[in-house]
Amino acid sequence: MPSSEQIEEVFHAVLARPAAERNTYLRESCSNDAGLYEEICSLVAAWEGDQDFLNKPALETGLALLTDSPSESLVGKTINNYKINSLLGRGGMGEVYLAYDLRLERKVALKLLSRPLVDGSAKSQIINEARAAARIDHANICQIYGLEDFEDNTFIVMQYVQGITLADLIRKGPVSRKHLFDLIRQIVSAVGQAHSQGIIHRDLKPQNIMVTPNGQVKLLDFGLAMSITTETKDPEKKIKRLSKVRAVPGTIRYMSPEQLRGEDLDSRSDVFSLGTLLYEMVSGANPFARNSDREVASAILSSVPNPFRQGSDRIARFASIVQRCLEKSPKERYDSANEVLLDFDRWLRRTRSHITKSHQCTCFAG
Amino acid sequence: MRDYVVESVRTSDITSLLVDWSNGDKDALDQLIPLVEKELRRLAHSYMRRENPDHTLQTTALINEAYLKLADQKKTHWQNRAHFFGIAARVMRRILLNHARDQQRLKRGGDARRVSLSEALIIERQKSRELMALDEALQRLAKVDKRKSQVVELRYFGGLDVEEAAEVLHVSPITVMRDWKFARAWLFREISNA
Repeated sequence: MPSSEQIEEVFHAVLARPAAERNTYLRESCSNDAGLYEEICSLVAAWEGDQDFLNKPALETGLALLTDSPSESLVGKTINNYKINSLLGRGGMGEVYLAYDLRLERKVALKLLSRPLVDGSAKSQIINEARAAARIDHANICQIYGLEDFEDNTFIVMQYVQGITLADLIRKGPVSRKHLFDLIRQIVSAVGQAHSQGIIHRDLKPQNIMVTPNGQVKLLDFGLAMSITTETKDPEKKIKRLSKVRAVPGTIRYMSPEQLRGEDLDSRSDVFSLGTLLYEMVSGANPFARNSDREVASAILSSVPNPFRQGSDRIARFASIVQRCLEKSPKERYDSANEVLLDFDRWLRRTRSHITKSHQCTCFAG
Repeated sequence: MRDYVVESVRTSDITSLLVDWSNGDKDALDQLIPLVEKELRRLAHSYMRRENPDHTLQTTALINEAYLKLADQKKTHWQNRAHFFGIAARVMRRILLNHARDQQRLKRGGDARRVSLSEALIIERQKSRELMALDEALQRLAKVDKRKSQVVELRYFGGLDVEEAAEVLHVSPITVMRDWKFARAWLFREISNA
């Protein structure tokens, strides 16, 4: 066994050489000691391997955490009329708690900002979210009960939805045909209702869609929702808003081409995201999944997803609905989710008898 | 989260705790850690409140400010300052680790699945796992070579540069640099092999 001093000494001596000479030098200095050679070799490889490792101190994350209110601190406490039971989840900007409404005696979900003091824009965002979602009355959209203040924080009181996210559902394996088209219908119809109210969601993705144990869809997270009527033309404000959108960390895999380019958005951007979502639900794979964000963006901007493997005319007709959602140019797409729904329902009526007969259809494959 | 009654603690208490600890009183450290943590949180908060949130705040600057606030300058000397930085680095490490464990628990926890979690959280989970792996590797390194693990703790978690770490550990900057290089390779190998 080589001693640790010996290992260190040779290690530093090797690193002091130019990269090209290291191997030769190492072999020479360990000529009689295979154990030492192996040890140093693996250390030098580790040193050369990842230049980013430990390169930046854990500062940024650490500081963000320092300013976060520690999540457990609220559990067990009562704020306004809500007794907080547990932390349900935490995202980039807020925390969602399961709470009990002491007055109405029911379970509710509370969404609080995790850093209310720090981020003024987050506060306006949560207010925006509550207002957008509250305007929509639809069985498949999580209901907003209220918007309240507590000390420095502002929080949303909303329906507590039990179930799993669509993302988890997809991950668990293929969904039965019948169930699948039922889910799709609920999702498209919920987004359609938002569009009828002049609201675009802008962040449609499987993580934002809950499915309850009895198969009901609940669309969540209107954090990025925008009212089309209040859409501003003031370029300065526009840039502000866009940078805000970009500041939201997360996946770009469901974004539309115009969203990636930072252009003005309307309901057709949601239609594109819906297309991606439907494609993934049916085929099991996101059409724009790639190894890096850059490649994903380039795929969204320019690559046309492979059509589903078409087993029959009726599937081909469904695939063409998805394809029209995924047109690169908004002009080529459906104008809103309501139009998608019309076409989808037409298709559903024509095929319903077939679908109920063959749950095991395998013609859709990624 | 335990509630520490910190407001009543005066700087003289911190100073005497620092002195006790440097004199080998292990209990003093247990009392110091929550005090330092509370002060760091408070400072970070007030800093973020008055500054642009996009502005990057240096951890060392924050720790320095905490030290100036907490310790009685007349009675402390540089060793106490060094000790203080050591404690602060440990506090930062603990905060990060607790957060990482939280993230992992959320992932496993039944309830957590019931709410839409942003993709951001999933990315953070990846970081959480890396952080937990690093912490475990660092504990193993501490058993083999305590000083090297301290160098990593000070530099990575405390944000200290080579000279500052050298001051805290009372060794030369060259030694810190050598320790750092070796520890970095060693830790990376540990984590990759895990």
